[in-house]
Amino acid sequence: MTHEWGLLIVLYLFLGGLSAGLLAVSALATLCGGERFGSTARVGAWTAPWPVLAGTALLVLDLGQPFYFWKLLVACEPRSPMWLGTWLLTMFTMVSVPYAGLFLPVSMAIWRPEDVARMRQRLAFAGLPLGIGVGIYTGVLLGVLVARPLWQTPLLAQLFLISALSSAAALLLVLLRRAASEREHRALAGADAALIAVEILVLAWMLIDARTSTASAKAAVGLLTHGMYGWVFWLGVVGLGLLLPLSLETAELTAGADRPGQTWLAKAAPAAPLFVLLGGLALRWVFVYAGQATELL
Amino acid sequence: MNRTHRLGMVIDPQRCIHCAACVVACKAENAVPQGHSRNRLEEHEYGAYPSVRVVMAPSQCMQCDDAPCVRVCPTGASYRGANGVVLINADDCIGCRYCIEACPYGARYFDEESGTVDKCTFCSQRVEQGLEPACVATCPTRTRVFGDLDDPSNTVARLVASGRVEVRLPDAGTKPKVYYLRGDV
Repeated sequence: MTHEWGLLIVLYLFLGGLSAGLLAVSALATLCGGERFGSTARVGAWTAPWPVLAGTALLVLDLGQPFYFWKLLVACEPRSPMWLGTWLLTMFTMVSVPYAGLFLPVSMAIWRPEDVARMRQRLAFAGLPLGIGVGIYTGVLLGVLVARPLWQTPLLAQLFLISALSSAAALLLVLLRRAASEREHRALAGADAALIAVEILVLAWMLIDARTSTASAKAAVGLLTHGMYGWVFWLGVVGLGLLLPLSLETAELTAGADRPGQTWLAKAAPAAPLFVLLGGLALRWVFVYAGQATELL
Repeated sequence: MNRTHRLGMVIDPQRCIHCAACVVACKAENAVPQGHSRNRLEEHEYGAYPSVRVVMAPSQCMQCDDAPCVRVCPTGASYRGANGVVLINADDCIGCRYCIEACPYGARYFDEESGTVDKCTFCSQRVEQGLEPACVATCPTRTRVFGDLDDPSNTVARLVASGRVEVRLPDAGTKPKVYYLRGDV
């Protein structure tokens, strides 16, 4: 089996998921958080449109005929996940860009504050399902392929979605290091820790599911957990990408107000989001590469 | 050909002597670029020593009736043409290679020069002239039989109706039109 899809696709899946997560988290903060989560909503809105646009540019570069990418938009192939995804990404951008604009100070100069708040609410209402939809799409793109047993499970879309939301929370933790209130910071770190815990469970289910499945699925998951891919999976994805940041964030959250940052784990906590982002990238790398080395038996 | 056919092929692995004439004939007929091939020879091993059996059989695009490559193509470049043959319109192919990932038979390849995907066409340029595909015509042991699956008098249709044939990866649900004669019946 050849590896037709390489690093550009890995980066695209990571960046697409990151944007999806950022818009979903920002929309959630706008809809449910109110004033208390103002920084999360604002910085999330500002950053959401760009990673996926960069990822899409990489995707076009990866095409054999990059100048004919527009054929995706003039075709009508509703059975193709890639065609559906193209339109989903287009709608995502059409919502996320004006949504980001509404958080610029200039919006306040044009419209009355209560109107801006209402428009933010409306776009957030559209942005939340679009963000979650794009997060799911990055997994469905691979998950529909019967020919690749490692990918062909509905759990892959769940895994990529949870990882996308976790990566977004992690990036916001980095960007809001100084800007956010203590309360906002703890909420983001708590959300990230919870998402990591869910991700570990989904991954565990994937392994258990494959081990009790067909010979093809068993062989495929064996490739993921052993050999060269096994190193990246256990060390990069599970160890550095999930368990380490989960421990750091848990230590930080449970440190207590009376003795903040006393343990060495809590002192290292600011590094946790970086490991989450690295783990998200490693997750997509190992699934894209190992997945292409597997075949239907 | 005036009326529509459902073109198919039956391969008899027992007859194949692994001479690779079909691979060479295909490359020459279709000017397949270097490093790629539209058909290949596969070795399947059954059992374990000392009761081991090796069967060699040619493999290629299975011309599936329910082709995953056609379903996932985002531009409609991959399609099922006349006579049920799966074809690629190179003008509409953007080279995303999703179809290569989708094919469980590894039948497609990416042509770096044209930036598009290509594969076996059942030699449609020859079939239009009433000729057999190059791999069929060149085979010295008549391993391959080609014809209309809907014509009951055709050898291909009779072999398929005999129940002595199987398809590769039937559980994939692709409904291939390239069949293999079973050796055990």
